[in-house]
Amino acid sequence: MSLLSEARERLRALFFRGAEEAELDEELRFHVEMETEANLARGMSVGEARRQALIAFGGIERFREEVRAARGVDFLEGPWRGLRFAVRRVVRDPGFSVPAIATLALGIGATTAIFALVNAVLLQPLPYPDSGRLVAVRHAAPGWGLSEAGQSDGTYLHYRSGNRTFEEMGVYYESSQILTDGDEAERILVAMATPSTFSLVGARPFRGRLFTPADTERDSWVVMISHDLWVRRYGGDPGIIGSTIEINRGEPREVVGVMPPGFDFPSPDTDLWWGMGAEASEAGMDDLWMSGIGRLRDGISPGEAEADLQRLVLTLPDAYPEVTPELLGEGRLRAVVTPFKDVVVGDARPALMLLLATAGFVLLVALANVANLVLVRAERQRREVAVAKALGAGRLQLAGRFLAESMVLAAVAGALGSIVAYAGVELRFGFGTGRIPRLHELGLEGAVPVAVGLSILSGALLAFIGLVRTGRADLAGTLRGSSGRATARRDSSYVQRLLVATQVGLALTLLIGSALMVQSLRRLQQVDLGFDPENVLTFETTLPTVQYLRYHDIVRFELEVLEQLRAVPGVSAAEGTAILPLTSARSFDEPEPIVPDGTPVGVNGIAPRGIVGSATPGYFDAMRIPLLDGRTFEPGDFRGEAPAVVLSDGLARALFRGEDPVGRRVRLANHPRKPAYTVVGVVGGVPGEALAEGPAHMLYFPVLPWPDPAANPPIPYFHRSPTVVVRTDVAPASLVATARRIVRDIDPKVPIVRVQPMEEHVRASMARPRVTMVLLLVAAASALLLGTIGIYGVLAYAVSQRTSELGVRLALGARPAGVVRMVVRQGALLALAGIAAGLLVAFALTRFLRSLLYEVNPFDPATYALIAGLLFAVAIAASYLPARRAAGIDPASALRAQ
Amino acid sequence: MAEDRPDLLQGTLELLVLRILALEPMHGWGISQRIQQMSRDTFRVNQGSLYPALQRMKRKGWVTSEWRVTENNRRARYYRLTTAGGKQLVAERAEWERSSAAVNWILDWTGGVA
Repeated sequence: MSLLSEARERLRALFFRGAEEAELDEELRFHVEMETEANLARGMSVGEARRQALIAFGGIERFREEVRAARGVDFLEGPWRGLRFAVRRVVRDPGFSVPAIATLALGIGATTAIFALVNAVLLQPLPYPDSGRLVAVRHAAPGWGLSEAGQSDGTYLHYRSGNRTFEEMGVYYESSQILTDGDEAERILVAMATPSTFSLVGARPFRGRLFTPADTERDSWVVMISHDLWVRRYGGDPGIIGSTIEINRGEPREVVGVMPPGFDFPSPDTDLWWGMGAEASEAGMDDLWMSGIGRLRDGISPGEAEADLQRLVLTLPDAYPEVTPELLGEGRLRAVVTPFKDVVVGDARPALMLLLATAGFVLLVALANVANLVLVRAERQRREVAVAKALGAGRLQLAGRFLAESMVLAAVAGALGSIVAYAGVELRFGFGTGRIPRLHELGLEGAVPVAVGLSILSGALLAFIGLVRTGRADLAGTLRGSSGRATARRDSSYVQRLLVATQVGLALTLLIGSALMVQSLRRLQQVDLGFDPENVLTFETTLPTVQYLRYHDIVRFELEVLEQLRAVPGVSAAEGTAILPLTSARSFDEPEPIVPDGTPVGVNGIAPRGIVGSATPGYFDAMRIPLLDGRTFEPGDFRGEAPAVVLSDGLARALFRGEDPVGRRVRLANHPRKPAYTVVGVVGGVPGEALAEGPAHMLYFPVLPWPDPAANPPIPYFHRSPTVVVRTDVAPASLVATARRIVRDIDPKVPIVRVQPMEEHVRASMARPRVTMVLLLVAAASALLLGTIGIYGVLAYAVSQRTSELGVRLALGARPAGVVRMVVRQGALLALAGIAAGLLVAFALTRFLRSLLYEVNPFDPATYALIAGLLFAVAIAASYLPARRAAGIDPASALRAQ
Repeated sequence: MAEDRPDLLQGTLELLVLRILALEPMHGWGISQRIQQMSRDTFRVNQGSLYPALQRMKRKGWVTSEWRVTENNRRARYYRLTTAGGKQLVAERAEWERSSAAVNWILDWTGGVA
C-alpha cells in the first residue's frame, strides 16, 4: 500500500507538476499570511510583520527548491525543469561562472580550432575519389647526393608499361607562362600533365571536356583552364570552349575544357592545364625532376609497389642502353613510393603537431583551473547539499543537479569556444596561403564533434569533481557549522594543490617551448643575410618566348628597363639577376652539379650542387653582396674560349678546397658538351629559398649586351624571367608605379609581377616560424595567466579558511611578517613542485621542437633556468597578495567570526 | 529570542507532527503553531523542515492532504493521519519512550550499579 501510494505521489508530482507547484505556492502563501497576522496581533507594524514572517520562513525561493528536492522530482521532472534550475544557479553565481566559462571557452576554442587545422591538413583524405590509393612515385639516389628526385619521361614510360601493382600512373610539372591575348599580359601558373593524371585524381570538367591521349599524340596543343581564370579573364563566357587563347605571344592554344571551381590538382593556384605526352629514347638519368603520381591496385601497399618498381629500376639498362648497371650502382638509384597525402602535407606536420599539443596543454591547464574553482565552490556548497540530503534528496538527484549545472557551464563555454575556433579558422590562424598546404580545405565542420565532445567531457568531469567533493557532506558536518571552519579540510586542499602544481608545470613547459621559438626567430632575424634588403625594390618580368627567343633580345629588353630606371630620381642603382635570394621556390631551377674542369665525367653524383643563374655586373654592389676575391663581370666576358662566371664563396670552397679559385675553370656536369667557364670572382653567399638553410651555393653567369641576334653566347643557361632590383634613396614603395610604367612603355605585352620591397621577401620567408611562435606564445601566456590565478586562488582560499587560526596566532603574538612568510612559503612550495615536474616534461618534449628550431639547443640550460626563475617569481608575487591579507587579519574580529 | 530556541531534530519533528495530526486534521501553519504552544515555546518549528517533512510523510503514506476552508474563510491545505500513519505514531512513540527512558535513566544515575 505504502509503496503504491508513494509511486502514485511521485507520478502525480511528475505529471501534474504545474498543479502541484501552484498548490505548494498557495500553501506557503497561506503560511506567511497567517504568520503575518500573528505578528500583527503581537503589535508589529504591517511592513515589519510581513518582513518578520518572511525572515522566519527563510527565503521563499530557496525554500521552494528544498521542498522540490524533498519531493524527489528535481531530476526526474525532466531535463527542462532541471535545466532551468541549473541555469538559474549558474547565473546567480557570476563569481564562479564567469571565470569558469571564460577559462573553459579558451581551452575548448583553442583545441577545436587547432584540431580543425590538423584535421583539414593531416587527417582528412585528399579531395579525390578513393584517394587512399594515390601515391607519389619518386626516386632517391644517395650515391649522386639526391635524397629526393623525380621522374623522367624514360623512367615514367618504363614503369607505366612494366609494373604489376599500379592501376594507372602519370607525371606532371608546373611552370609559369604568360597569357598574351587581350590587352594585358598576365603571368599564369601552368601544369603540364599527362592525360592519365586527370583520371587518377578523378577530375571532371566543369565545361567542355578533358584532354585525351589522342590530344597529346597529334600536335594539337589543347589546354583546359581553371574556373577562376575563366571567370577572371574571360568573364565566364561559355563560348570559351573551342576558342583559342594565346600563350607566350604567338603560341595559340585551343581551350577544350573548364575545370570545376576548387579543383586543386596539382595546386589550388593552377590556372591552366597543358596536355603532355611522354616519349623517350633515353632513360634521362640527368632529368629526374618531374612529379610522379600513381593509383595502387586494390590491396597493394606502398611498400609492395616500391618493391615492384625497384624490380623495374634494375631492368632500366635493358630498356635504355645508355644506363649501365654500374651507373645505377654508383647512384644507388631506387624507387620511392609514398602516400600522396604525405607529399602534399610535406613539412607542415611537425609544426601542426606542435600546435595541437600546445592546444591540448592549454585545455589541460584550463580544466585544472576550472576544477579548482569547482573545488572551492564545493566547499561553499557543502551546507546546501547537506540540507538537500537531509531533506531526502538521493544521490541520483544530487548527481543530476551537479551534472545539469556543469553541463550548462560547459555548453556556454563550448558555444563561446566555438566562436573562438570559428574566428581562428576564418583568420586562417594568420598563416598566409601557400605557407601551409591544404589551407584552402580548412573548415570547422570536421571539428564540430570535437567541440561538442570536449564540452561534454569537461562538463562531466566538473560534475564528477563537484559531486565527489560535496558527496560526503552530511547533516552532522553541517550542524557542526562554523566549528568545521577552524581546521582546513586537508584532503580537499591536497587535490587543489596538486592541480595548481600541475598548472604551473604545464605553463612552464609551454613557456620553455615558446622561449625557444622566440630565440630561434631572433637568431633567424639576426642571421647575416649576406646582402642589405633595406631600400630595395624588386620586381619580376616574364618575357614571351616568341619575341624574346634569343639572349640578344632578352638582354636588350632587360638592359633597356635598367637604363630607364637608373634615370629616375631617387634611384641609386638598378640591376638584374635571375636568382634573387629568399623568393619562393618556383623561381629557382634545381641546383646543378658543378665540377672543376678536368674532373672525369661520371662522378657528377658527388659533385657540389649550385643554383645556376645570372647577374648584371653591378648587381652585387647594388645588393651590397661583398666581392671577396677577383672581380665582377666586365664587357667582353663572353669572349674567349671560357666565358666568365662568379661563384658564391661556399661553392668556391666546396670546389677548390681553399685553393685560390680565381682563374680556375668549372663545368656544369650535366652539360658535358658545353664549354668550361673561367671563375673571375668570388662573392659572399646569400640564402636561396629559406633563411634557415643558410647561404646557398650559387653560380652567376653574366648579363651583358650580346651583339648577335641569331646565335646565343656560349652559356648553357639564360632566363626569361629577369628580376630587377632597384636600390633607392627614397621609400621603395613610392617607385612601384614608375617601374610599371617603364616596363609597359617598353613592351606592354610583358607582365610585371611580385613588385615588392626586398624586405618583404625577407619578412615572408620568416612567416611560418613567426606564426608558430606567436601561437605558442599566446598559449604560453594563457597558461601562465591561468596558473597565476590558480596559485592566487588556492592561497586566497586557504587564507580565508584559516582566518580564525591566523587570528589566534596573531593574537598570541605572531609577527605579521612571519605570517606573510608562512603563506608565501606555501605558494613557493607549490610553484617549486610544479616547476620541477614541468622541467621534466619540457626536457622530454622539447626534442620534438628540434625540427622547428634554428640554431637553438632544445635543452638550452639558460632558457630552462630563466623561465623557471621567472615562473617562480610570478608565483611568489601571486602568493604575496593573500599573504598580505593574512597578516592584516584583525585577531578580535577573526575570533568573533567563529 | 527565536534564535535561542533549538530546532527540532528530524525524527522528533515527524513524531510530533503525527501526534498533532492524531488529534485532528490540520494545516501546516497550524501544526507549527500547535507544536510551539504545546512545547510552551521550547521548540520553534523551522518551516524549512516542516513542509519537506510533510511532503515526505505524504509520500510514505502516513498522511494525506486536502484543500479545505478555514474558520476564517481561507483556503488551506489540511493534512490528515492515515491508518498507516496511526500505526507509525504508535511505533515511533514506543521507540521514543524506550530511548528517552534510557536517557533519563543515565542522567539520573548517581553512581554504583543497580
